[in-house]
Amino acid sequence: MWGFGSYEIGIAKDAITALGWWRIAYIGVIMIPVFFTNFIIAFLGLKRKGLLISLYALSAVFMAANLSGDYFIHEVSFSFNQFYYLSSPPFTYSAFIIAFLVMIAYGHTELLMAYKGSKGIKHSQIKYFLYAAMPSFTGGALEFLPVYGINIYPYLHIAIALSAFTVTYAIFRYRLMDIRIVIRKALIYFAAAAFSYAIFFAIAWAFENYFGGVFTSAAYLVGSILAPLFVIFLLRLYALVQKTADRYLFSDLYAHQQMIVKLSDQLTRSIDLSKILNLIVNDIKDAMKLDRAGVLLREERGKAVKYEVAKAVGFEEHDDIRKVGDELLARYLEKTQKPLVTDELVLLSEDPEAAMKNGKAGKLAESLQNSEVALCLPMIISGELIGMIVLGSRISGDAYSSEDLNALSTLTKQASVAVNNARLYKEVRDFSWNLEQKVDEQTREIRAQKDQLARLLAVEKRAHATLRRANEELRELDANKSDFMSITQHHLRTPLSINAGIVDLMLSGAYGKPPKEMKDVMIKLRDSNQKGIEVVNELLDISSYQMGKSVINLDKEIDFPALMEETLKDLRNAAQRKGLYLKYEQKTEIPKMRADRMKMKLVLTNVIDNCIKYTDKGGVTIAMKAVGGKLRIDIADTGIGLSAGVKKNLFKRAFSRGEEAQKMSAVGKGVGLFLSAKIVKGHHGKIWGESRADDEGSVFHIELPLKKGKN
Amino acid sequence: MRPKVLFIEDDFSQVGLYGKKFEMEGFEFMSAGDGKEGMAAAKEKQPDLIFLDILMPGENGLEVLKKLKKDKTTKGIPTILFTNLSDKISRKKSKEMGAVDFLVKTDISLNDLVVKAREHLKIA
Repeated sequence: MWGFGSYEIGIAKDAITALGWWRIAYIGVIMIPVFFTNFIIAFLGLKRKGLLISLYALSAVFMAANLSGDYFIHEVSFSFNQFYYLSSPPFTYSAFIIAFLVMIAYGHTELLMAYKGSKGIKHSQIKYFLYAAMPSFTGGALEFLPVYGINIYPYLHIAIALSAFTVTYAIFRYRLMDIRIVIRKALIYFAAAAFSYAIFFAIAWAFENYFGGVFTSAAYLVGSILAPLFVIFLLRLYALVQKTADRYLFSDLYAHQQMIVKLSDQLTRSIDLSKILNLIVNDIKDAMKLDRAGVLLREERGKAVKYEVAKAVGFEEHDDIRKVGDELLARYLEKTQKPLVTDELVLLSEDPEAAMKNGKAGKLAESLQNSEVALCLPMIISGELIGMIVLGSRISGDAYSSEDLNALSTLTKQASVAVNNARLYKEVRDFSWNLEQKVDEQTREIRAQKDQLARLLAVEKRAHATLRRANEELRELDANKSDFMSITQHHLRTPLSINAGIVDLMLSGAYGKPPKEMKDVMIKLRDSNQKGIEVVNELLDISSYQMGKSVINLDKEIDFPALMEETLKDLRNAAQRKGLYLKYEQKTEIPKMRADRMKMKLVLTNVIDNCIKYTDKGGVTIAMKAVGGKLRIDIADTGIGLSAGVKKNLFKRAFSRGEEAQKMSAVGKGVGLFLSAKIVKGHHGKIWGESRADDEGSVFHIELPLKKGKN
Repeated sequence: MRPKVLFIEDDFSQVGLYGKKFEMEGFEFMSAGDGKEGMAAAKEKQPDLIFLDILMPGENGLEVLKKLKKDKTTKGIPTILFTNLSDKISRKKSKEMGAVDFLVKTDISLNDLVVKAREHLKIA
């Protein structure tokens, strides 16, 4: 209004008109401060309703004063080539001026205060606003000076124009109103139009002057050449303007695109989660010149899902960005899947209309602000929020432009993919590591089992070895026993055999014919020696038996009857000496049979001798027959008989001679029966004794198999 | 020609005994104190009959028997094991190794010994 008014004033030709126009202009002027103040209040979100109302009231008063008469402006005078109101200002005018100044000052003060404490968009907006407002108002205010007699042309009206430019710039740069693209297009068309227009006139002028007119034939000719050239130039210009416009208007877009390219390239090279997080946080922070940057990632702890800080740079402890990862924000981001600018959220939460719905928004905005988080970018994969990138404000304090946001959104998408991949990779790696661990464990278990098995085998082997050694020792013992037996046999028998030999020689006259007395003695000596031999034999036999050594020799076949005769020959003397008879009868044919001659002789001798010993009167009757494949010998005496207990034990134990035996004086022969039993057993035969039927004496039975292997 | 007997026996009192008896009975009597001497004597003197003791210092009789039967010059000489050992194993072994007889010293009188000798020499 003012500007328009001023223009008209400028071309006004007379004072009255000028006055009128001034008044009109002043309608605008009056409203300037109040509108300004109103704007500031609204812009800054201040609650000055009362103030506003009063200011509007005041302005209404001034308006009335202005329009209704001379209360405001009542005279114009010509100066500065224009009509200007120079009259001494009336009271109302001065009041207005004061009010004007006060309001402007107030507005600026509020702006400054807000500017100091503001961040982001607000900050930038205020900044540019101040850039615009201050000079323009200062410049504008100077206009008042002439009224008070200070004749300075208000040159600084130009500052007003400047303010317009500043605001425009703010629009461009800080999306005061995001109409950059429209501007750019307009700019390009305007430039193209201006160019075409200029060219057109230039050519027209040229044609006029050189060709005598636009429609001459020469002009046509030249025109046809120029036309294509023009088109080429136009296109070139178009591109140039566009590039320039882009570079100026959208310079940050280039920078952003470069950043995105660089970062995406790096992101795709890495699968390491920490590296990726580093890239995201640090590169964004550096490229966008932020004071803080961080990443929160989704963690599932059991059933709860939390968003925990995975990486943060620049955030201070008291910022406590952990709070940011709360459920509310997460759900909000997941729902909107769009970046969340804290400033916008603040605005939203302050909207009184939506206050009910957005009570939470207010809380959220507050926590974000407290954490110094200016921007939250959701990381979405398959519609799920896997994390968020939280950014602080730019160091310069400027807001995030929409290009910034676009670039960051694209980046966030890339980052999401990279992070997701890294996490999956880590999962797989962990899984395979776990698997490896399990496999190792199993392998270790198997190896342990193998070891155990080996140990068991070793134990078994040792057991075997022990067994083998035991065997060897037994065999050695056995051998030792044999050695013992051999040595014993040798040493016991040698002197006896020598004695026998010497006596034989002596008796046969090898050392001269012996006198009769000596001969008798020598015979006694020989007999005694022979007895010794026999005893030794017996002893050795018993020892052999005790040691488990068999001494029965069943190689040869013997004539048993002959053996019997031989045995009886020796024993007849003993019987005769006691006055006993010794009867023998061979009842049947006895075939040749396998037996150990010497041993059997021993047996027969023992038993018969025993009978003779325990018989005082009567005698011994012997019968031998072959029956049922067996040789049967019965030896009966008329002696003291056998009691039951004696019977049982007689053949069992060596040296038990029965109680009765003690009554008799006899050379110990208990050994004999025990050995006899053993020998008979060795022949696979049987021997037993019993009392005679008529209870006078005892009878002994010997049974021997005639054929080998029987019995 | 008197039949030659070789006694391989370490106990010289016994040797004295047997020597006296066999000489009386018309044999040529030779003796050796151990296996080595015995082998040498057997090879050199070529007796008609060898009486071999088992328990001797150095090699025992069974080893000597083995050697005698291995050596071509001595393996044809009838060898009787003449010992105090009466165990079955020794008896069996000696038979296996080629002895013609196994006599236990205490079980045979001097006379019978000569009888046996004559038996194995196939003379009356």
